[in-house]
Amino acid sequence: MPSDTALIIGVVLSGLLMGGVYALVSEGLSLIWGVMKVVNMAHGSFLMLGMYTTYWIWYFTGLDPILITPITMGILFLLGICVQKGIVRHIIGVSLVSQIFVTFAMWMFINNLALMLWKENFRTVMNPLIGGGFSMVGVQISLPKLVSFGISVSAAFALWLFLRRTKTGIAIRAVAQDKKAAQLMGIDVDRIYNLSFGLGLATVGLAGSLLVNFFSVYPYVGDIFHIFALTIVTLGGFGSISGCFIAGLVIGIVEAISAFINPALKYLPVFAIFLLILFIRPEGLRESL
Amino acid sequence: MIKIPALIGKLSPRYIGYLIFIILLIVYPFVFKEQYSLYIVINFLLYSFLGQAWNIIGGYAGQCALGHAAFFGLGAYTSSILFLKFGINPWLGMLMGGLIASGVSVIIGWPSFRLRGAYFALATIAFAEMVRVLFNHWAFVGGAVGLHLPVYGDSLSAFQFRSYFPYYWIIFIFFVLECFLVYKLSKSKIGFYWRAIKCEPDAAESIGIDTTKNKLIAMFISAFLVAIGGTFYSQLMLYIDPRSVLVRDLSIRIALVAIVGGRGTIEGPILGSLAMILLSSFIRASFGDIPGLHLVIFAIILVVMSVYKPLGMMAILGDLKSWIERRKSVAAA
Amino acid sequence: MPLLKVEKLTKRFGGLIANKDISFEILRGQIVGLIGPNGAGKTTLFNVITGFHKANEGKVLFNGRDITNLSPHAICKKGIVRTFQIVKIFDEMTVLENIMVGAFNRYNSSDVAKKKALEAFELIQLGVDPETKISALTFAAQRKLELARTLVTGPELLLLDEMMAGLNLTEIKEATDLLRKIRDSGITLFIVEHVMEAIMPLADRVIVLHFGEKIADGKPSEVAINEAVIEAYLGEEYA
Repeated sequence: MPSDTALIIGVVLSGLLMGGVYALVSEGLSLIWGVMKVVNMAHGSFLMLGMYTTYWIWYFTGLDPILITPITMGILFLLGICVQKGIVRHIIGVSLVSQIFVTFAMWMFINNLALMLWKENFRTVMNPLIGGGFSMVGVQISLPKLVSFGISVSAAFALWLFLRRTKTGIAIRAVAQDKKAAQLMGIDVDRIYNLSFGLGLATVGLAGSLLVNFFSVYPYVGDIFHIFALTIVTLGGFGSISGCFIAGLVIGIVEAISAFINPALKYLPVFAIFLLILFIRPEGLRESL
Repeated sequence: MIKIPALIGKLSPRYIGYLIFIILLIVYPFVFKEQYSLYIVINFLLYSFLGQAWNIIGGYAGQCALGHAAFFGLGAYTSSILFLKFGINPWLGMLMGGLIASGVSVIIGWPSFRLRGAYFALATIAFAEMVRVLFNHWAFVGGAVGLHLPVYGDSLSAFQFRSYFPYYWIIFIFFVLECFLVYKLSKSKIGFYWRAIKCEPDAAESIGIDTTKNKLIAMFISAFLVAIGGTFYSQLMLYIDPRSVLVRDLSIRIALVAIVGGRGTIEGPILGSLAMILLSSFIRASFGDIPGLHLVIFAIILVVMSVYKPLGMMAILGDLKSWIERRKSVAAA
Repeated sequence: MPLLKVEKLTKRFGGLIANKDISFEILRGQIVGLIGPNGAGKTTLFNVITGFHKANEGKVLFNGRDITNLSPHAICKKGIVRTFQIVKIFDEMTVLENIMVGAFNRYNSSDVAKKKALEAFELIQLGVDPETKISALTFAAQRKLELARTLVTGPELLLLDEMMAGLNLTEIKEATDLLRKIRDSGITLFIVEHVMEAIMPLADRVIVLHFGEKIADGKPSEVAINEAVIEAYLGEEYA
């Protein structure tokens, strides 16, 4: 295959693979959004925490990030439940401004806490277990990206199955659709909220664990992924796991191609898409956001 | 001489408060002459200025715009570039920065205003981020390194001074004029229209209010003023970069000053700015210069406040006033 | 020429046809009632006429001019104003300020608007101080306030959406007298109502909607004995 075409296909493929991880971040956001109707401005900060968690465990134990993933997921799940019980619970159903206010405060708090504890330094994981890549019909494929993609797809699928096939999952969707009706059916809405937030953060923890293989960690690293997640959720439809996944792949590809064309401005097309979608389908957007 | 006490007796406590506030500010720089003391109040006045500008669109018109750092940056960069590359006087550059910022605000506002609530806020955030990323990578404006303005020492025409003293007066005058403007607007037709749009946009439309047009006007004025603040800042610091003038943090701080103090009130931004400056100073004095700590504590206070008193400090003062009045009537009975 | 002419108006929401092929006229000086069982499409019709929803088909003509699909504020400028089923008054303003917002439709000066607002305020006789905050008002008073606010914009046609809902008999009598006074002052009224005791004696004509279609249009006495109307309201009981 001619090397130019191979190069471009390689770029697109790379974007696709990363897109799977971006989709994970957005699925967490979509879940929290969909179930609790809360505008969470601090989502990127939790991703950052996930990344730092994996980083520090790697730093002190030398364990490979891929292996640390379940630990990070567990830690973030518990964190999610604490945050829900402590703060988020109070802002459900509250006015929009207050929600943005509070979650922005959380964002400031977490980011500046990270800044205070770990300073501005960029930290990178070295020598991960899975490295390198291989060639297929002349197209370069990165092994870590492939493995991450595999994990992302599995996780997204597992989440989808959970929400469709298990009793708890269906309960979560019920609360998302109609809280009052769910309550009347005997569903413990508080428990569902705790679970959803925890699950949302666990998803983000997983994504963060995978992302440390490709990105350096610093206190503000989560912010850009947050915008990605917002774009993906808006594009893919809020509350839809499959929609988020496909949208995530699209955004991944867009970013990869933009980076290829102009590395300095690689985020602009994603922002532009975000604004474009917001403007083009205002009728489709629900009041509940 | 006998007339003055009578005059003061006729004025409501509110106007007396304003007068005292202005007199204090006029007297301050003559009493506290140290550069550091002046700098603190300049900061206070600048944040009050920015918060009051945000108040127009976010407080009175009720549109929670969270990307105002973009306008601050546009103002700062426009006047600086015009001065550095084209030798244009910063005062003129300030006006042009204002026009560019307000022009952009209308372009971004027009499609955004169709969006409800959080989507509007998100659009403004995304837009501000786009501007920041753009400026971060644009060589013409110095990219991430930023711009240094040449030092001329004391020069009114170059909008630069060696001491903070003249800067103090400039921002003070700007702020007083701005408050006067906002006051006049709030009592006029457009002020009523803004408040109506904030409360019930559908009802407002039904009685003849072009909600989009009026929101755009609010946005235009707001962006213009914030850009002015941007130019002032660039002339104060003589150095700007995307981290200082375009960062998301700033957008939030500008909004918070008005929200914490009380949206839709003239006094709100003053109280909010005061709270923020006092808090930062107190924390810096007690805990030293730990990066981000004052923001962490500020954030905690915000969380508590949002849950219990989202209407801000003005509402707290209002409650206090009602409580005092009730005690008075009980005592009288 | 009729004041308001609606021609074959159709409004769909996806697969649901809320208004189907509706045509009618309203003459100047009339009080016309719009009744029908719940879900008949009455408020939707109001929304389409006043520009809150876009019509899929059909036309709305006011004083002979086509106003179909204009924005609500433009329609207000033409002379049509409405109230809402759930009363929408501006809760961060005083009573007088609420009315002033309406007055600004005609007058640009705050002083003039205040004067005109006070006049309207006297008319509706709320019995409270004009500087009162909204939160202190009773439900009936809120309704009256919304009415005053619309009146002061200087309309030719007033659309009232279920104004009598939740009022007791005395309040209904007061409201009915007020509406007659308004009509006598030259404003045409188009009223959606469920409270039959209020609308039937008041209206010159009544239009009946059922499942989005117009099934009757005539004097209240005629409509009351119309078979299709009776079936629409009581039909389920026969089944």
